[in-house]
Amino acid sequence: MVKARIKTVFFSRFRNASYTVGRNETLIIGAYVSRAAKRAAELSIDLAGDGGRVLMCYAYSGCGTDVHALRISVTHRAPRTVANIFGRGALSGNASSTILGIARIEKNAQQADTYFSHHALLLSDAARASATPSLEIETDDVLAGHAASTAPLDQDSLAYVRTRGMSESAATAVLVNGFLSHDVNRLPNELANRFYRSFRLCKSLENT
Amino acid sequence: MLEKRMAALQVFYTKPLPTWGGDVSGIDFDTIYYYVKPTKGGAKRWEDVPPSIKETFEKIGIPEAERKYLAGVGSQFESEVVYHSLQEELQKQGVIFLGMDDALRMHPAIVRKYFGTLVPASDNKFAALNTAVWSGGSFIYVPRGVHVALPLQAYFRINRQSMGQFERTLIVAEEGSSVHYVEGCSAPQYTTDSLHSAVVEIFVKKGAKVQYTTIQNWSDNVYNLVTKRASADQDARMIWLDCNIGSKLTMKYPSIILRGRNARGEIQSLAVAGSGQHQDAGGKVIHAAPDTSSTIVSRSISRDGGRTSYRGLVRVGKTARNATVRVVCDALILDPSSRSDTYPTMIVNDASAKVAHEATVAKISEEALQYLQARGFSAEHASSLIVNGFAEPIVQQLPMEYAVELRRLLELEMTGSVG
Repeated sequence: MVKARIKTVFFSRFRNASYTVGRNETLIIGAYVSRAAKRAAELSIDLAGDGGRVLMCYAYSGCGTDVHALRISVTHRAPRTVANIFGRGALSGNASSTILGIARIEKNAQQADTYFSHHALLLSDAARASATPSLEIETDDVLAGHAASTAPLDQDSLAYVRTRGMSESAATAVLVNGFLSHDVNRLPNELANRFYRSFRLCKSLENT
Repeated sequence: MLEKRMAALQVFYTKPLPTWGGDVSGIDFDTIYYYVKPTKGGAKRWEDVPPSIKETFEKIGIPEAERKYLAGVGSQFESEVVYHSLQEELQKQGVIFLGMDDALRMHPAIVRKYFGTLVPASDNKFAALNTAVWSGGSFIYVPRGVHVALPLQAYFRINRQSMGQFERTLIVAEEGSSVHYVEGCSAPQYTTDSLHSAVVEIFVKKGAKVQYTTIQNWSDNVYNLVTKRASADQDARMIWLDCNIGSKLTMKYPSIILRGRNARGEIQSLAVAGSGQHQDAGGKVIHAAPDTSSTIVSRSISRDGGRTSYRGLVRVGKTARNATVRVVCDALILDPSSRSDTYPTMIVNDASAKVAHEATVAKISEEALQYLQARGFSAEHASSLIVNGFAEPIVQQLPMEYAVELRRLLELEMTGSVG
């Protein structure tokens, strides 16, 4: 039995970073970003060893003139490598986000499994979101998928929470919290705790 | 028109080749014949048609006369009769269905009003080339409130005038009318031309409905670089149904601009790439009005080292309140040497839009294969059944005779691909 080596990382701001995941290693990334970086960040993950895995859950909130720009590229170079990336963002004011996810499965990465999802919530008329989840697959024995969505806050849910006695802004904050932390239970406790500790919506979002 | 052509030629010279998508560096623009008189096609001999093409005709059961026409060595005479009776029927309703060259001569006012307004010469290098050298293509004008019952098929019309490689098609559907246009054929079209670069412009007026069905099966030396665009006004509905099986490289992204309230757009595409082929297809939808909705469904199959790419764009503009978008792309890869890519882009500039996208890429599931084999199917037959099932949601929307041929063709394509 090979002992799995696990490495965990937490981000509170998107920045350039690159990781190489070796044989039977696991990389786990948690991120909660409430302040936009000045420029586009690039995160590249290289699954170079047989059985290497990456799990990433990130969430961000943006308001004012925040611009979240993130490019995540995952390259499966070895067989049986697994990548699961879950992202969520809530945008209000004039905030915008541009998320580019590129999963690449190379020829010899048989039985690779890759998944990327990105869901954005638009809370104001001027908020904008753009998402491009790309796949480049050069072999056949793989599982690959992605999902992306953009939508406003569900008015029915909002009405429901408000009938429980909350103001509109409090109800919105509850729903946005729930939306952003939806995938966090996939993270190990230590990272999930850091996620919740750093969790804070930007001011205008709280007062929406 | 000559002025338009000359201006477009200048644009063509100045525009660079696209740097994204498929490899187009193999095209030598200087060796292409830009205009071949239709009668010239008849000079070729049946004996010159490659055996692989003849064999396919045999297997999917195409009648002898039709085979010769498809191979570009003859023309079919029976359909002349069909064409004339169809033409009479249409004239009674006021529908104009002509070759583009005839239309320019007979209805210059309509052509001038619409030509190049949706796809201007400056749109891209190949649209510029088409505008400069176009010949052939279809022209359809459906008057207000008229519903054309039978699908109009280029197949009937083309026999009078051979299909060019730089076709220009223009369809105008006036208020409350509907029409279904079918181009292409599921049989492989043998041609010595190396570049096919068409432009299609469609205007769907208020409350009208247009469906444009394409079945493309060029022989595998052809670069198929096509610009297709439709505009849909209020309550209009536009459907692109696009099946790409042949060619060396196809780059085709049927587009719909939803510019009237409650307009609907639908793009359904199927791509099959075999050895040495690259199908770079997809769709574009621009939401520019409130309450508009669109659906893009793409299915692709790659095998024997073929490559399929889905490349799509969905843009929801500021003025498009309550837009809904659904994009689904699924890909099947049949062997380790094949490749499949997905490049969807979604740009949402309005908070009330509901946009969802999903994609999957996988090989044929071992379980499904074993299940069928346990029921007595050979491995080859079982995988051919699965592939056909995968393509079925698109194929079943085709007119019946095309669907039957396409199913047979898929079976044929799969022969020898497993085991």
